[in-house]
Amino acid sequence: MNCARARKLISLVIDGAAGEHQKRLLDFHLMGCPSCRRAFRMSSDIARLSHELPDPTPPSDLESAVRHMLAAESARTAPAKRLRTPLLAIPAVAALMVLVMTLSPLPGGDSGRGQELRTVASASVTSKVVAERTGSKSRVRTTPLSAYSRQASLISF
Amino acid sequence: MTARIITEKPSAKDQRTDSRLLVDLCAGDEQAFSEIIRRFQAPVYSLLIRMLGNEEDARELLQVTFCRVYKYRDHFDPERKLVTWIFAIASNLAKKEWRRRTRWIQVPLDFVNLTSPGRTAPHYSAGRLELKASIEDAVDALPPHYREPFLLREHEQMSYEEIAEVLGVRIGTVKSRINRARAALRESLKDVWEEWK
Repeated sequence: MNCARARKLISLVIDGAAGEHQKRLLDFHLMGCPSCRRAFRMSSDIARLSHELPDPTPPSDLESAVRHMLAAESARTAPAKRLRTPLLAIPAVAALMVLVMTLSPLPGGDSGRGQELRTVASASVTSKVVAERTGSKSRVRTTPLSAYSRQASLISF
Repeated sequence: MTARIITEKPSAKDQRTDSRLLVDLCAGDEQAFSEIIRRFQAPVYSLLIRMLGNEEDARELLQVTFCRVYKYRDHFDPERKLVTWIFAIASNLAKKEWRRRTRWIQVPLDFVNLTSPGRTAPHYSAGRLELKASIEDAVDALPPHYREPFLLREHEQMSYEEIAEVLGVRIGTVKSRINRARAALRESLKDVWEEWK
């Protein structure tokens, strides 16, 4: 066993985590290695004295301070919870209104929509007629007017 | 490996186990919280003050630690030990504080050095006293990722498994870090130790 391995075992032995076999291996190494023997004694002393390091005294008013902190925290979060409900309700109500307006039928029903389509169709035909009259010069061939009339009548129904 | 983790024993009035205390706290027993604070305040404070290096920050984080214990009491897994859970909270807070400030290594341990009763106790020989003081200084000078497992092992006498649970690392990492901490301490204390022995 080399010294690096022995130093790891020293740490395990001091912590009481080494097995019997590891202890025997370390003992065997320490017999022939003064450097590791010194490291072992030094680590043991450091460990022993580290146990005796003084414990600083915690503050005597810790519990009251903790409870005060908890109370302050809950007071800080409570108004936020109260505000959360109306703040969340506003967009929810708005979304609901939009949904209702989208799905509900318009006043006047299909007749209104038909009128609108007829208006669009007639406007389209008018524009085509104007285009045909003026477009003869521009050599643009368009669909005959009868086709538009048939299409417009289909749309209206 | 034996573990001596809890420095405060259950009071004469309250003989409940740690886990039982938390179960009772979850059930609304406020007295259980008082007992939890009483049992764990000293070791947690000891760790925090040695990790952070000053009394003010350690006090603040000690309060925050117990606030979190109270706040997240429902998250506690009864299969775990309460002490490792509380130390893990404190350790995470300390790490967060380290990240927040960059000069934490240079902060002296004024509080510990000034109030160490052992240094003025008459039964300590001068050499032993000097070695102890040197050990404190050398531990303070360790990098935090070596110092924390070393303190949990040597001062709180936690097992490797418990330290691994507190720090959230593997057991092999814990062994390695403690070994390296000891190697660093041997290196920095060799002159004082030679004089002392």
